[in-house]
Amino acid sequence: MSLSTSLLQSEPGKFGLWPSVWKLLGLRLRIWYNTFRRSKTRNKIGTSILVLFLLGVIVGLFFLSTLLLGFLNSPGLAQYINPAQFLTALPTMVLTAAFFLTILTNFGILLQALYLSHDMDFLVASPLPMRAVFLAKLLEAILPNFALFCAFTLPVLFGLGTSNGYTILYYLMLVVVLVLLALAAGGLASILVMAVVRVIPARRVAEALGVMGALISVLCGQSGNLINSMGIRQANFSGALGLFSRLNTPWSPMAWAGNGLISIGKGEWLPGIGLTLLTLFLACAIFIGTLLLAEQLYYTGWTSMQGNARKKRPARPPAPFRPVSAAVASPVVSMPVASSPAASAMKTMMPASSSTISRPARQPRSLPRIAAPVRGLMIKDFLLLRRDPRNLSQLITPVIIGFVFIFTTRNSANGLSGLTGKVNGLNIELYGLLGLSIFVSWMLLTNLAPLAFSREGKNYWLLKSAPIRPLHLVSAKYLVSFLPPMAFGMVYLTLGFVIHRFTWSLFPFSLIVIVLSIAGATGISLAFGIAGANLEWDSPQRQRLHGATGWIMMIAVLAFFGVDLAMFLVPSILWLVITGSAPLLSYLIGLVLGGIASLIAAILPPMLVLPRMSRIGEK
Amino acid sequence: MTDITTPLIQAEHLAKRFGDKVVVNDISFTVNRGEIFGFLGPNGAGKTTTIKMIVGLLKATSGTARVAGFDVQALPLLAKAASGYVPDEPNLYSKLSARELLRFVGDLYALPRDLVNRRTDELLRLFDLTDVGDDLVDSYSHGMQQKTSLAAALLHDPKVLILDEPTVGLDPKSARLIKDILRQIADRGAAIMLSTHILEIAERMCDRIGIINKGNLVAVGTLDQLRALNKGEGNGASLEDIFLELTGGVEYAEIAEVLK
Repeated sequence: MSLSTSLLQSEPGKFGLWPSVWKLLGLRLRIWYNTFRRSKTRNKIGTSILVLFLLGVIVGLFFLSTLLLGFLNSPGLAQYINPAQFLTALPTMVLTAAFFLTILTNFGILLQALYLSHDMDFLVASPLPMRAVFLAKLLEAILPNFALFCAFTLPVLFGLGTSNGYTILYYLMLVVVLVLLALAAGGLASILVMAVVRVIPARRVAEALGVMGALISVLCGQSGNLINSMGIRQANFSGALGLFSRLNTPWSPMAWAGNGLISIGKGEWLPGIGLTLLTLFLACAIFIGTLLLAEQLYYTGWTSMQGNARKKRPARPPAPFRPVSAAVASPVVSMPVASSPAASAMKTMMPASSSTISRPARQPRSLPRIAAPVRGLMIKDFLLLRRDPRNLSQLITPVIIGFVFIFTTRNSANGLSGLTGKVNGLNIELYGLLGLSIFVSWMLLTNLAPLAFSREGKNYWLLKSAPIRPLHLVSAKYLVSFLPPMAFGMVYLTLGFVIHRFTWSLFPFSLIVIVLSIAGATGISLAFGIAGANLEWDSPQRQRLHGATGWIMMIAVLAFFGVDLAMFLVPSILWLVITGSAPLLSYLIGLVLGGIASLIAAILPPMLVLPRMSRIGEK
Repeated sequence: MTDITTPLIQAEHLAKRFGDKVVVNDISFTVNRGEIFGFLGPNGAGKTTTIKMIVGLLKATSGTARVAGFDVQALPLLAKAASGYVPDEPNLYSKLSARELLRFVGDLYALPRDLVNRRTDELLRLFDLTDVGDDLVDSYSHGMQQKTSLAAALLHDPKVLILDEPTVGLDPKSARLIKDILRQIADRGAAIMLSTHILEIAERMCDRIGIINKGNLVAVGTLDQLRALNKGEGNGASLEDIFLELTGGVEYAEIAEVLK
C-alpha cells in the first residue's frame, strides 16, 4: 500500500474539537520549551530568576493580604474613603479592572496570534476543526494574562475573604468567576481585533499599539513627578477612589458578580448564588457567541475586506520629458516610454552599452554643497524615523521625560540643582540647567547614533551594494544622529532660560557648550554603533548592539561628558573662586578647551572604526 | 576602464569559509559582454554566497571577483557603480514609497535629480507600478516588491546585472516581462548573471550555465557543452537530467520510490 493511499484511508474521527485544542496548546508549549532549551545560558538564568521573582511577589502578596483587615480598619484610610463602602465595592472594582485589563492586553496578543504570526493559514488548512484553532488561539492569548491577573487579584480577594470570615464557597466561586470573565474578555477582544483590522491593516495597528505602550510606560514611570508638578492633592485622590466605588451599580454585571460573591461569603445563599450564576451565564454566552462570531468573520473573509476598500491616492502624472544636457550626461540615457508592450518600451529606454565603464555621473554643483548620497541618505533616514511609529515612540520618550523634568523643577522648591541660587558666586542653577539639557539631549541621542547602522536591518544590502564612500555614509549617519538632539538641546536650554529667568548674558556660552558636547557624544556613540552594528532584528524595539558594546559606549560617553564639561566650565569657575569674578576671557578659554575636546571626540572615533564598515552585515 | 574583450564578471579561485565550514570552494568562471549566465545548484549549494561575494556584500576568504574589470575588494566603488543587484528576498525600506526609494537609489548613484525623476516614471510604468508608486512599500505584494527591487537595480543602467532568483513570487506576466527585459539588456552589451531553481528559465534564457554543488562548480558551459559532459543520457538529455546527474539526482528517485 502506498503512503498516499494509507493516508487517505486513515480515520477522520481522530480530529475532534478538544483533542485538537489540546494538540495545538501542546504545540505552543513545545515551542516555548524549545525556545527556552535552546536559548543562551544567560537568558535561561534570567528567565528562571524572573519566574522565581514572580513567585516571590505572589507569596508576598498572600502574606500582605492577611494584613488587609488591619489596613482597612486604619484611621489613615478613613481620611480618603468610607471603609464599609470600599469593602463592599472591592470585589466589583477588582473584577472590573481585571475584565477590562484582560480585554486590553489580549487585544495585542490576539492581533499577533490571528494576523501577524502567519500560522493561521497553515492551521486552518490542516484537518483540524476551525473552532479548535480559534479556541486554541484564544486560550493561548488568555492563559498567560489570566495567570498574571490571578497572581495579583486572588491574594487581595482571598485576603478580603479571610479578613471577613467568608464561607469556603466564596473562594471556589471566585476562581470560577475569574476564569469565565477572562474567557468572555478574551472573546470580546478577538471581535475588537477583527473590527479594528477591518478598518486599519494589522501591521499599522501593531505599530500604533507599540507607540501607545511606550507612551503609557513613560507616563507611568513619570507619574510621581507629574503628580507633584500638577499639584494633585488628597482631595483628588479620594475623589478618584470614590469614582471607583461608584462602579458598584446595580446594572453592572461586574457588580452582580462582586455582590454575589460577597453574599455567598456571608452565607446569604439565594441572592449570592442567583447573582453569581447570572454573571456566569452571561460570561458563558459572551464567550461562546464571540467565539462563533470570530470564526465566521475570519472564515468569510470579512476582516480581509479592508484591503480592497482602501482608498487609492490618485497616480501622479508623469514628469514632462526634458532632454538631458551634455553637462550632466550619465551612463543612463533616458527616452520617453512608448505605450507599446514592455519589451519595446525597454528598447527605447535602454541605450546600447558603451564599451567602457564610466564613473557614476556627478551632480551639478549647487548650494548647499552636500554630496548626493549624503543628502539621499539623510532624506531617507528622516522619512523613516518620522513614518515608522515604532521609531517615533523611541524618540518621543526622551522629549516627554525632558519636559516633565523641566516643569517639575519649576515647581520644585530646590530648583534645578537641588541648591537654590548662587553659592560663593557660582550660578549653580545654571550648571544644573546645562547638565539637564545635555542629559535629555543625550537620551534622544542614544536612540539615534548607536543604532544608526543597526536600524538599516535587512535593508543594508541596498547601501552595501551601492557605490557609496564610507565617509559619505558616516557623514550622513552623523548628521541624522546629531541634528535632532542638537536642536532639542537648544530648544530645551532656551526654555530653561525663560522658565527659570536666568540672565541672558550666559546664554550664548551655554548654547555653544550644549552643541559641542552633543557633537562629541555623537561621534563616540556613532563609532560604537558601527563597531557593534547588529542588523538581525524584527522589530525596532528589539534593536540592540552586539555584545557589551552598548554598555561600554554608555561608560565612554559619560566619561566624555565629565571631561568635556570640566574643560568648558573649570576656567570660569577657577577664575571666579580666585579673583571673585569671571571675565569673558575665562569663558572663552573654557570654550576653546572644551571645543577642542568635543571636536576630537566628534571626529576621531568614527574615523578609527571606518575600516570596520566593510564588515557590517557579514556573519 | 575595460576594453570590449574583457569579461564583465570574473570570478577567480573564489572561496568563502565560515569558520570550518567551506561554503564556496575555489570557484572560477567568467561572464562576457552580452551574455546571460545561469547559475544553478541545489539549496545550500553556495549560489547566494557566490553572488554576494561578486556584488561586494561578502568578503571572499580567498580569490578575487572582478566586475567590469574592477576588483570588487580593491576598487569597490567602481565595481558597484557598474553593477545592479536584485537579491532573492526583496528587503526594501517598508516605509518609503517606490518613487521615494528610486529617488534614494538615484542619490546613492549620484545621478542628476531630473534624470532620476524621469527614469523613475519610466521604470514604474514599465513594471506596471505607476498607480502604486506613491504607496508605501509595506503595502506591496511580494511580486510588486520584487519588481520594485528590479527597477532600483536598473535605475542607473548597469553594465552588469546580478539577480538572485529573480522570478520567485512573480505572476506569469511579470516573469515574462523580466525575461524580456533581461534579454534586451544583454543584447545591448550588458552581462547578466542570474541564479534560479527554474530549469526551464535557465534552458531557454541563458547563453551559458554554471552548476554549483556543495560549494564546487561542477560544470560550466553552453547547454550543448553540458550535454556532452552528461554521459548517462547522451545528446538528448534535458537540463533537468544534466542537473540531477551532476548534483545527485539518484536520491530523488529513491524518495519517489518511497512515496509510491
